[in-house]
Amino acid sequence: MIDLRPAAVQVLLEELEQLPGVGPRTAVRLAQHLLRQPAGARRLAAALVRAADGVRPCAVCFLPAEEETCSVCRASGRNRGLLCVVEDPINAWSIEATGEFDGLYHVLLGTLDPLHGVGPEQLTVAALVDRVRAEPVQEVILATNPTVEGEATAHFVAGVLKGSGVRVSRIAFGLPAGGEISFADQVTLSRSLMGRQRME
Amino acid sequence: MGLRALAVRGFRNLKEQELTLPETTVAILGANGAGKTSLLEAVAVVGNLASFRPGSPLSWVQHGAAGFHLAAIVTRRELDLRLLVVGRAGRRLHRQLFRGGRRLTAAEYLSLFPVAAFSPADRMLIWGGPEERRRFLDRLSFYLRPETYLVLQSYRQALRQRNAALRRGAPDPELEAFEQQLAVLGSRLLELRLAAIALLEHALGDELAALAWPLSQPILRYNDTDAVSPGSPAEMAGRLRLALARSRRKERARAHTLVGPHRHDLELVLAGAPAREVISAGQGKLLATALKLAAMAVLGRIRHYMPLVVFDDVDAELDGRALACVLHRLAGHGQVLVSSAHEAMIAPSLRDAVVWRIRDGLVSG
Repeated sequence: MIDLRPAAVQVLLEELEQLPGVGPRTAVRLAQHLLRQPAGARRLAAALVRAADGVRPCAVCFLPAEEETCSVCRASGRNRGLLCVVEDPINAWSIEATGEFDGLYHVLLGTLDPLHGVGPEQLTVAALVDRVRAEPVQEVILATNPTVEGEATAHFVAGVLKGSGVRVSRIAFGLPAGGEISFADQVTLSRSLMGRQRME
Repeated sequence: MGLRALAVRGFRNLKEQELTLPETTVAILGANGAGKTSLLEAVAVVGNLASFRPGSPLSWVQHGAAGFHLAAIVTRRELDLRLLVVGRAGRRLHRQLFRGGRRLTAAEYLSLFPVAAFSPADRMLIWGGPEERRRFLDRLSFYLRPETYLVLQSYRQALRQRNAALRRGAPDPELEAFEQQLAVLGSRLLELRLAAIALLEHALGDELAALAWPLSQPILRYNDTDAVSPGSPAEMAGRLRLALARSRRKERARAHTLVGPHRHDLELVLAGAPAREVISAGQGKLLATALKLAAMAVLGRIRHYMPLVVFDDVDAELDGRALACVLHRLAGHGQVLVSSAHEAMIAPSLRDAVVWRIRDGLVSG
């Protein structure tokens, strides 16, 4: 049997399959799409090279940045007394998109995950402690995900910051706006009931 | 709630077939190895995603087949639900669950069609290890409070993480982070279990009386060796956190978490002694059956569930009188599927039952 795929296509497929959520079939579909649109493929390649060469973690908060520090850390008018701690940049992007948060971020670059060999030393916890000491931070909001690992990480970070003099708070959890109670899972519902608020 | 139709393909030793089920009792009769247990097991898997027979789910896949399909039409509150369980054999069983055309998670699927499964393996409730009784209790807790599923999953994940942290020699603060999770989730699990036990104990007396239980009523005692219960959730979480912290040194040596609900037991105590030490094999079967019937009664009363009953090898280990009591208790229940290799033994108590005969994995009416 002859492999009809040219070597360049085989390499492309192998690289695509390395991406999360992309299996062999999806890789073939993506490759087909790219090969049919050479101009689009070149634009994608250029974007990839630019991102790979030009983006690095912000030296202060670890958000992706094209300069030494990110746009949030450089911005004037942000509340520098408020620090939101997230697992990954994507969580910070979501929070920023709400328009409700005007403080600064700190990206942990993961969670405690001993099963996969991730301890505090693989995260940016030490840098967070340094920031809290060096910057005029008054409150740290722990916005890690409500998973076992996210909760444990929040607890760990809260412990590390104990005695630093800053207020440490945990992001609230409850029903999604616009959602229906009947579609919510039991844990979310239970948390919503426990975290109920008085109607003013 | 009832099973109207079942289609089977590639499951155990059953031939591919489609079955229409009556709403009453069905007696499934056949020789050893004919497929009686496999058929009841197929029903249990469609309902509970678990078998009453010990062993790996991979053993559900027919020898030489790539996987199995179990399709069922279930009537629930006058609605017909079309359920499909697809199993594909690999290093482990890959399972896909559907209601209609929509794919469901196990947590979503499990409350659709609960099956009360009775079998000779129920003896493990009396003579088996604590994990058998914990599983029984957690399943009852789940049907009472579906939240149990996610609490249990999260607790197990926190346990795996803490064990991994113990193995890698993580410092105390890192262990504490997962201990906090274990304490919060563990105390919630304890709360759910204790609530289930209180309901179970209340219903057990009636069930033992219905089965002409000859001894005094056993006491159900939740044995938490770490003395975490009773108390408010906050108190229990506090005690569990303390127990985990105290146990840390010993656990570091063993790289395993030794305290918490994953080590607890539901003890059955009779006249001050563990029931398993003072009862006969037949009495053990009767007691295990009464426990399961009590769980069914609790669900009927609290959640208005009327689960389908499958009872494999119903006459195993029971004398004629005890067997008659069990079958009499099930007679008014609704849809019941019982299997036996001894037609003469069960026939006098099942005069109104529909009889299915099974041979070489194929049912004939």
